[in-house]
Amino acid sequence: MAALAARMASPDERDDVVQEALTAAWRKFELYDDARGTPRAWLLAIVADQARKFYRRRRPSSPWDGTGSRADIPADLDLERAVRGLPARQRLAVALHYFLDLPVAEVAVVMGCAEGTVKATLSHARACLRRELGEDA
Amino acid sequence: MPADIDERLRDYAARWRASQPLPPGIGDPGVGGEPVRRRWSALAVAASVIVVALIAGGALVLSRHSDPQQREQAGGIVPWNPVGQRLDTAGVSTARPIGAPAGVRLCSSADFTVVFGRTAIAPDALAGWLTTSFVLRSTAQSPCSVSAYGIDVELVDANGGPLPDDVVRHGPPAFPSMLLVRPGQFVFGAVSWAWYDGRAPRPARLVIDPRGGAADSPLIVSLAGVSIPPHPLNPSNLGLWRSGWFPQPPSVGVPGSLASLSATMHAPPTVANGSTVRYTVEVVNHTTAPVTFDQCPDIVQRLDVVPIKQSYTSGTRGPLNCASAPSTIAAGAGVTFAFELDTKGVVPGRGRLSWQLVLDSFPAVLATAELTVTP
Repeated sequence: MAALAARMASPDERDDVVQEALTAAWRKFELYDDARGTPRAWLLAIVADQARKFYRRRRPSSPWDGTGSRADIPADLDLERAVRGLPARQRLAVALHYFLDLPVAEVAVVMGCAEGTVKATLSHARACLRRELGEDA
Repeated sequence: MPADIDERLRDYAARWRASQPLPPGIGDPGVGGEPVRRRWSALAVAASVIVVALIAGGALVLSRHSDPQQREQAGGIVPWNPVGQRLDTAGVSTARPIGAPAGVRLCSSADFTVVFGRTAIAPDALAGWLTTSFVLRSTAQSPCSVSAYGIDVELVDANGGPLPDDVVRHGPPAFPSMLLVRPGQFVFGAVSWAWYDGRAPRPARLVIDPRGGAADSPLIVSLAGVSIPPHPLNPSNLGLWRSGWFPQPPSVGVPGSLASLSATMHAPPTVANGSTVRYTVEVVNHTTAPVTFDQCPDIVQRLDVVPIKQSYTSGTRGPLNCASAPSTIAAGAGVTFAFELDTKGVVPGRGRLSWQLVLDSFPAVLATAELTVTP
């Protein structure tokens, strides 16, 4: 949860995203259905939802480009900025698959879509990143 | 031409994960280090509480033992059995309690006595957060039920005045919504809370209210002597006052189950970097029923050091040395086990050694100790 929040929210909001997600999870406790996925996937989906809400709130006044967040990350700044600039769904898919190291099947559960859709989203994301980073063949 | 974007992403993501203060796993005891890290740790544990409640499949009830002849009787220290594998993360769980049938009366505070209460700067602490753990024993003559949501707790000041908090007390209940507590059973609970110094009277007691009737005999855990740290992120106490807690779903321990054991770790205060830390854990059965090791549980041991920002961990998971352990821990008896853990992978600094008894992926007992790794 913390890792996804760190990927999807600004540094000063990520703690709040997790906390809000936990609160939401607690309130939605009885809605969890283990037939629809693992607890982790359920919680990650809530984190993603909360991060989106924070993002919307922040957007008008304080845009955040995702840079300068942690000096100790061995950063690939261009790539970091490019990933942060992806559309929300693509960014979420990239965060879950690459940064949280989830298999495509679990990403699909978190995102509430089919595995094929995840693969397509990741493919589009990689294409966007290649364009953004000037790596088109 | 740069590496393929997929490879570049994987490489960068791996470095990013390695730079994160805490693994996304649960149960990370993160000690020391910057305040934000501790908050992350707390959030992780709070998450684990919810995950645990979701995944736990039933109370831990051990089956009866089958080959006691291979085991020694209690008395000495059970030696360390260096079998196991290194691990990246340790799990934390607890048993899901049993739902109460309809019509079972609500428990009241008069149905319980507080048999244990301890407050500590939690390994699961947010910045400045503490965790108060408590164990209630049912002294009732008949079964009763407690709400999975509604074992309420309240911090009160020295005069008994309730302290303000931001807890939502009327949310939808967890599942099962009502938990059955039979006479003699135990209810385990824990709350994490924070006190922003200067904005409210100092908490003096934690009052536990099972809500089943008038609290004519309140269940109280004293906070006397508890050192409440200033809030590191807000040392001047500017900003909004806020206090609150994460309520854990209470779990009902079945006497005779692993979950009814308690554990105390005895570890040296320091260990030289690169050497092996040797420690013991005393496991005591405080309940009235014997606990058997018929199904040998695993132990997870882990040392986390957080010198500045990055967390360094050494840990193993493997079976408890059941072959050398007594087959049964009688009511009121205890057994001491010896353990060893190398410090490979950690660096000098303040850390926390944690030890967990795990059965079928449901950790039942946890013990921790602070430890400093010296150069």
